[in-house]
Order: sequence, then structure tokens, then C-alpha cells
Amino acid sequence: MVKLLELSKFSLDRFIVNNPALPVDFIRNAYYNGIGRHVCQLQRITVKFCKNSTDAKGVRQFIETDLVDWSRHNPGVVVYLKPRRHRTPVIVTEYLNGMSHWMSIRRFSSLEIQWWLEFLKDRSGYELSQLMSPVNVILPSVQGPWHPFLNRPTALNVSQFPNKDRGDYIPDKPTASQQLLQMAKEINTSQ
Amino acid sequence: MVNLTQICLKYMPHWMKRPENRSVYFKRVALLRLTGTFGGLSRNSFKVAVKKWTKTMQYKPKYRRLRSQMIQDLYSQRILGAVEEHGFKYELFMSCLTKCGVELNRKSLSTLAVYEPKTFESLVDLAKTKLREEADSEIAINTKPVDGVITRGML
Repeated sequence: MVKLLELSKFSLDRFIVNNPALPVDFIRNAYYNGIGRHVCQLQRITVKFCKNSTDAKGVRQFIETDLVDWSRHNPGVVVYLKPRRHRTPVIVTEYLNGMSHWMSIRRFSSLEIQWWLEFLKDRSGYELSQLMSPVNVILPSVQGPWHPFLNRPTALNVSQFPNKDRGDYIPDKPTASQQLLQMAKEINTSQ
Repeated sequence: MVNLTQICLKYMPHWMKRPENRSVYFKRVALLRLTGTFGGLSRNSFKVAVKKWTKTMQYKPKYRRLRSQMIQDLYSQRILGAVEEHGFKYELFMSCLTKCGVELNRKSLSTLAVYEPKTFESLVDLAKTKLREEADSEIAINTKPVDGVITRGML
């Protein structure tokens, strides 16, 4: 299981994915979008809200203050407002390729709705999916993977074991006798 | 004493009645689909599969939490092994890296250790020089200097 999670980034195999039940696809863009003029892929927004309930307070504030500015800023997007009693406030966004996205904005503040609208506007119409890489690579770096003899001196190939130098304990700090020798050396040099 | 409910239900209009289900086949098949990868009777027999599935459903949320811990432990272990190879310590390595401003998480460090060992060696060298520069403890003072790292203090 851990192995699968690690390999999914480096493998092109479609069957190694984080969750095989969810959509998996290569990265796509709307045809020729960006080659000439950029076309906003968002076609229309339908905002359904209740005129009375507290869930829709943020939506109502957004409609009163920021909606007109936003729609003037994005002239390619059609905005429909549907007041519906006793229903949760909802945004339904439809894209040029026919996909639609339903989102509840219950108890969202005006600012949050603006943030979400930015996100929905920037999307292409393709559904959210795990992206596969079109480039297949088994070993992702030129250095080559680690193997046990990588950081070992090659002299070990021609040495006899047991090897005293390799087998010695390597202390972090100098031992007591080494410290005494150091102190003696310092005294001698100062004298 | 007349049982009126039975009579009323019998003469209720069809659009008010609940559809009667006399077949358990579909419910059982729906569960056996879930236990298709199990072995033996748990795959074929409903009674055994139900017991196995209830246990599986108890294990799943518990192991979901365990899995993230286990994976993090695995990454830490890999980094520990790689760091010890270069004659350094895991805790010192992690603390010195964050002091240097290298904010790599355990996952990326372990992938580097496995797939880019030279890069990892240079990170260990960086941590060693940082430790030497700090010179807080005896270990810091007594670490051997390494080539290839230039700091502001040297210039």
C-alpha cells in the first residue's frame, strides 16, 4: 500500500492511482485557448437564494454590493439570479464545454463568495481529476538510486575482514585521554 | 377483536403502499460484491461475509489514521538511515536544516535520500557546517569540517 502511494508519482500506469474510484486523466486545456485571445470558459452563473433566510445573508449582501462590479469585469459571463423561498443558496456554474458545477453557498460571507467565483471563473470546464503525467519515468533522477555500496570506500573490495579500521568505534567527542593529551600539548606550546 | 391495521393495509391504494420485498438476493449480492477480494467462504457465503465485513468496517477508520503515522515513521526511518551513513545524527540534521531555512518535509527528504543520494549528501554537509558554526555543544565543536559549503562567516 505504501509502495503504491510512492510509485503513483513516477509511473504512467493508469492503474496505479491514489484512488481508482475517482477520475484520472491527463492535463487538458480548452482547444486553442491561449494561442490567440484567452477566452473565459465560464458561460453562465445561476445564483439561487432565499430573500428571507439567514443562510443567504452573505449572498444578498454580495448581490447588493459586488455582483454588478464583478459582472462588468467579466462581460463574457451571463449572470442569472433566481430568488427561491425556503431553499439553500446555491451557485450553478456552466462552462463552454457543457459541464456544470453545483455548489452550495449556505452561510458564506460576501468575501468568500467572491473568492469562490474567482476560482470558478479560472477553471476550464473539465472535471477535477487526478492528473497523470504524459512522461513515463521509472527512475526519476540522473544520479541513480541509492544502493548499499554507494557511500562505502572501494578499498573494501580488496580488504580482509575483520577490518580493524572499519570496526573501530568513532566517538563524537574526544575521549578523556585525548583531552589530556590536548591540554598537555597546549601547555607545552605555551611554555 | 378485529385487527384493523391488516385489513386497512390490504385495501390501501397501491400508490400509498410500500413495495414489498420478498427477495433478499439483491441485498446479499450487494454485500458479496464488497467482499469479492476476500478468501474462501467470506467471498461466497453471505453469513460469513457479513461478519468479516463488519470487522473490516471497524478496522478501516482506525487504520486510516494509523496509515499516515506509519508512512511518516517510514520516511523518518529512511532519513535516519541515510544520515547515519554520512556520520551524522537525525535530530541534529533536521534541526540544522530548519535553521538554514531549508523547509523540506520528511517525504521529500526521503525521496531525495533514495533517488538522489548525492543531493542528500550535500544537504548533510550543509547541516554539518551549520552545526559547526553554531558551536553550542561539544558535538558541534568537534564535528569534522566538510568541503563544498561556503557560509557568510567564512567570507
